[in-house]
Amino acid sequence: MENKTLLISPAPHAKRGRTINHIMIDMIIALLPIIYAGVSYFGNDAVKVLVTATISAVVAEMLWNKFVKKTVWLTDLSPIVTGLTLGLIMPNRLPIWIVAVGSVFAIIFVKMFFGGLGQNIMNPAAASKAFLIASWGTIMVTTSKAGNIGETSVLAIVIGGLYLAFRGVISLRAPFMFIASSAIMYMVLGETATLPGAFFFAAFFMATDYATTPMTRVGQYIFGLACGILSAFIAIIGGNSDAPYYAIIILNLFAPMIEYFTTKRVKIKEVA
Amino acid sequence: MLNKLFNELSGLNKKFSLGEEKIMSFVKEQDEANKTNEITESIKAKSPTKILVKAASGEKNTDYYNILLKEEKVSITKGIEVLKSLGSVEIKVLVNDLTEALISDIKGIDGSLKLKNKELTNTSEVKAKAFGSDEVLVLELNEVIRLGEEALDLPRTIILSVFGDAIEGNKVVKVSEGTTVSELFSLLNGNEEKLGSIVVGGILTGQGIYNLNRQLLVTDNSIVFKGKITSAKETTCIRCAKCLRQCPKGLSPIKLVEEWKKKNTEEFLKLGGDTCIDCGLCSYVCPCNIELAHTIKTAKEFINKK
Repeated sequence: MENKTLLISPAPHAKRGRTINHIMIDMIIALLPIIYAGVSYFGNDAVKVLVTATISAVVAEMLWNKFVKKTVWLTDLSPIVTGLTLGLIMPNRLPIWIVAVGSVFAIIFVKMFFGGLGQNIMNPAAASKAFLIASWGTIMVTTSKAGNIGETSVLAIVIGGLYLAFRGVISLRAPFMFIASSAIMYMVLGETATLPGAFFFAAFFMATDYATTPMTRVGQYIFGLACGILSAFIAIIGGNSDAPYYAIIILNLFAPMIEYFTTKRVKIKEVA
Repeated sequence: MLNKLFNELSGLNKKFSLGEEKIMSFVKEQDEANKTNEITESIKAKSPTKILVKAASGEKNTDYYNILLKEEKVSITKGIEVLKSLGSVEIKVLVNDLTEALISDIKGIDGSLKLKNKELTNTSEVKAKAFGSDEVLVLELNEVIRLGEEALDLPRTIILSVFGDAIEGNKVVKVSEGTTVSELFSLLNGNEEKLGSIVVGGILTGQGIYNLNRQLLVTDNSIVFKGKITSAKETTCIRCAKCLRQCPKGLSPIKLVEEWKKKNTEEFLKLGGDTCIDCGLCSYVCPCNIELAHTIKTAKEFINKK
């Protein structure tokens, strides 16, 4: 064996092999029970909303990639997850054009303007919902009397969330604290502790978002606790049925600070 | 059991599992002139008082100590005897679940120590936990076997585990002293077209080598003849926190890398950058293929040189 070209690379010499797309596929699978429950309760309107949301999200990200002249303008699977999540927190009789505008807002304004995957400051779906309520308040309120598509079955949400925890994609720290603290605040404020579906959806699919929540274990507990208390306040005292989504976007702005204060530090000995 | 279910290292366990529990021997006849006693002499020169023998490893491809203890018991027993005869020496053995039972009938061992997988990469902490001091000589079980062979005047051999896509691997082999890497490659019917790189040592902390005429050493526990692979591209961090979960010291590797890239050496040290044990698990699990372990190693080199 003479003059063979070998590669030298630094340690470690093996990789887990699980990429971003594997994580996104797991998230899509976890959303399937919720989609099934929502579509079977609401019918064809729900399908139109979900399909529009997903396709506009993917197209928006592709056009943005072309606009900034990225080398590969085909996206990975992340806008599909964002589009589905956005569609699932919309009411079913919403006009399609509002869904498309919301999707474009979520992808371009909240995610791409800040740097793409992993760099957004707020959850795109929840921020887009707040934007739509602020812009087309009457339509959003009148069409959401029957609730949002993804909030029909708490069992489906919990099944999806437990699947993600089983696959190691999310941890159950923030969802558990979110639900527990919300239930306790409901009882403290004098209501029965039966939480609406929105709380569970926000707990499992938004309080565990990678980019917008703290990375440390203690930080995730604090995030879930603060989120739960705030959403209970907004829901009962404010009378707002979309309370968890507002609480999520407010707490997303605190996430870097929570992470800063909960990262492990060591004392350096000062050399005299 | 739940721990094993969520274990991120399970892929490594499957890839580096051994086919059979026996050692395949390629030992040739050795001239009397070539038989040296170099390992015995080098250990005598160090005159140790505390010895830690490693019979457990954190990385799957070097973790075949139970096979060594079953097949090479004679040499190991003699090796321990030789170590004891050096003077007042205290010998302890680092074990795992499989090897704990097998060392109980070897005379001369003063105690055993069991640690979790991730802690085994940090030699100074292992020394501290075993003896409470830093003046400890750490020996591989392969070196103890060689001590026994030198004392009993058996042929001097090198035992290592071989893996890789370019050879017929997944076994433990025994070759004569003085075998080179290329000779081992042809003994194992290696396919030159498939060979991409060679790694000696553990799969996560080992060293890549390029010299095919390099002789195999007693301390090379394992050799992996990797196939040709193209690495995936590095993307930006998605803040998934998998590196934080894997770090045995509880550090935040991505934060350390970000502070280093901004040249904040003070913040790098405050976040515990100096306490990194170079296990490589952070780079192993990263879904974005960010070069974490090597960047932190480079940062430590630069900071400690000042």
